Amino acid sequence: MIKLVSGDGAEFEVEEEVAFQSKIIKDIVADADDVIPLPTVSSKVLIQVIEYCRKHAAVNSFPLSPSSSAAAAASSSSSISYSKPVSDPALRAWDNEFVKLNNSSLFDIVIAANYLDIEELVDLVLETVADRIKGKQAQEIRRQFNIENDFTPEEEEALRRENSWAFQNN
Amino acid sequence: MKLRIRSMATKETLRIEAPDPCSINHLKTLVARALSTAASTSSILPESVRLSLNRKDELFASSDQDSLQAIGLTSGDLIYFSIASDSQTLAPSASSRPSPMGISNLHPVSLMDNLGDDGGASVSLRSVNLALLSSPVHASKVNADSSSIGQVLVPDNSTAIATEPIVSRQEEIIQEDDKMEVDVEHMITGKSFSVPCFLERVMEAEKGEAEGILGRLVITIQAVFLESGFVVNDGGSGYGSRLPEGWSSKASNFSIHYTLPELTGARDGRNAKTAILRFSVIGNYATVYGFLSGAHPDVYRVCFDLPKLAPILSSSFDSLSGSEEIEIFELWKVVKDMLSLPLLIDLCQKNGLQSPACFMLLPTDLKIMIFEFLSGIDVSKVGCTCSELRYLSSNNDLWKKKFLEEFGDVNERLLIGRSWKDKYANYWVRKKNADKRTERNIFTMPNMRFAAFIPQRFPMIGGYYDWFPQIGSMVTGGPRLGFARLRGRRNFSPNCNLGGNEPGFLG
Repeated sequence: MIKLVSGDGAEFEVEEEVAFQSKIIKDIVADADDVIPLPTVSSKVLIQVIEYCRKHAAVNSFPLSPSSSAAAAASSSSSISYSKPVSDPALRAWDNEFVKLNNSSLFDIVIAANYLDIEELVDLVLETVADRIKGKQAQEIRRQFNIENDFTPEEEEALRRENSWAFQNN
Repeated sequence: MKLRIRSMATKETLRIEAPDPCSINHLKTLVARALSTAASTSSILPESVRLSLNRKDELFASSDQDSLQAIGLTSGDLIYFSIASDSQTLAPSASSRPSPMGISNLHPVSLMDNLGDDGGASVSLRSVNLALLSSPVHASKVNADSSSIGQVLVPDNSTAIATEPIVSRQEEIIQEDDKMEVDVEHMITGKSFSVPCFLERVMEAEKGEAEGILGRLVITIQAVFLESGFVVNDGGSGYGSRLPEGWSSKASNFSIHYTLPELTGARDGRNAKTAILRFSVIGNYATVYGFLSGAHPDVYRVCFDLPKLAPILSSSFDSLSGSEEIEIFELWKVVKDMLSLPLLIDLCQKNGLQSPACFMLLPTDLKIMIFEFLSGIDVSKVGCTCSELRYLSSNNDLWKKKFLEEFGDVNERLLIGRSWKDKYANYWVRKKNADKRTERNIFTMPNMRFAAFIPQRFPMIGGYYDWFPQIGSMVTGGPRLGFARLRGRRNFSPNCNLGGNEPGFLG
């Protein structure tokens, strides 16, 4: 068991294969003791990250369980293709549920996952963020992510000209 | 023309929509009216309003007729104002006449009906005033339609003041909330797409001050901080976007204090309201420590190797080579991710402010990774949201990747444009037009002249078209083919043995 300590002092005991989803922790454990302080990660975020790692550790340890491989075969025939080798549809569905969070929670998670170097989780969250951008106009993106428009009217006009091709109706 | 008018005393910002043309006296009248309505206690005379661009020198026009453009104001400018106290409590009287030009633009449309009738006009004034009193937060936009107002001529100009409802204070506060303002807005706009335009702005503003590599490094850091939403706190006297005076003369150890616009109002000094950057130069190395004022702050530290930075910082930003741009970007990223963002997050947390735009707090690498999941169209739209994302999304390699992903390997000679984004845009437009043309050909009747060129046999492969080549001809060929071809059809042999005649096939 490995003990993770969040920034606000909460302790979490997790199994090795769960914690080792994070490459950083794997490296730390290799040459240190089993209590790992994570000062920049709050316990709220750490709980979610551990939840993700638990799930993925459990699935990855039985990568070819009969039910999941059968399901994978079924899905491959139906023209769905995944960019990543994470092709277990049940896990994929679980991931999709996992990221049904508001933007700020997502960003907290991705910053933690980036810090802990959990590649799959970073990709998952960023792809979700990208999905929330797709097909939106600049003003909608600003509203969605609370981005401040700091252009002067002249700059905005120049931008409109430069990007006029993208604003035409498709 | 939209102008932002900020009080030097309270830092409150009003938004004024000035008609075009507009004289400076007229602008003062608009400010006075906006203030009178907002405060709803005492009226403020236009004459007592002092306007200034730099908070020191008052803004004057050489003649009353000069338009605001003539004295160098443009839309979006930030103007500071103060009230000369001696005349502040006076009620408006007929003697305080604004300039004639101001009047002609001022009169509210509601007085139109009473034109030429003094008695009627004053009655309507009283009723409008009552309406204002009964609903002090009546929020309605400044009437910007100067063309219609401009034509109205009212004989007695004393009725003009305080009748038109102006943007109310509440509305101002809401606007203030959803937009964190940085004072760089009124500076020179950037030209180049690849160089961060905010860096250029600050360079422009601090021209002449930047001595040596260290000076330029300080300016670069200053640019990143301003762009993150900080303002400079120059020792309690004021806040702004300029570096404290004389910073460049201090040799090797100096600090710059930053704070956030939201924190500039109250100055109790108890809380950690200031982010301090301390520059310490030892030999060739400049170490920058960033921490909050107050006890036991977290300290962020970045060390710069000045001679190594010299080539990129001393070259002109107009003519950067590709590798220099990358290095500028690396420098920018380090300052942003290692100093500016952590300090911003700390400052917001310590003061109970909501962190600004969680998206903008993501480390730069993650922002760039998000672009990888987006199509070129979406990237271009993200680039239109704010200057930082514009900068990040205009990376040439990113666009090259987008191009190859979406269009594949296209002959270089077919590509128009200098940057890969230009190439992408041009190719995208051309491809879209080409798609439109083919769509048109499919869904409209082709010209009959071309019927002869329609191939007799559909170019199909697979399915029954391999086995029965005549089927295609039957469909398109028409009676001309006759039965000769049909006869041929009987002679076909399947190109594989289905095994149906083999005895024992089923067993």
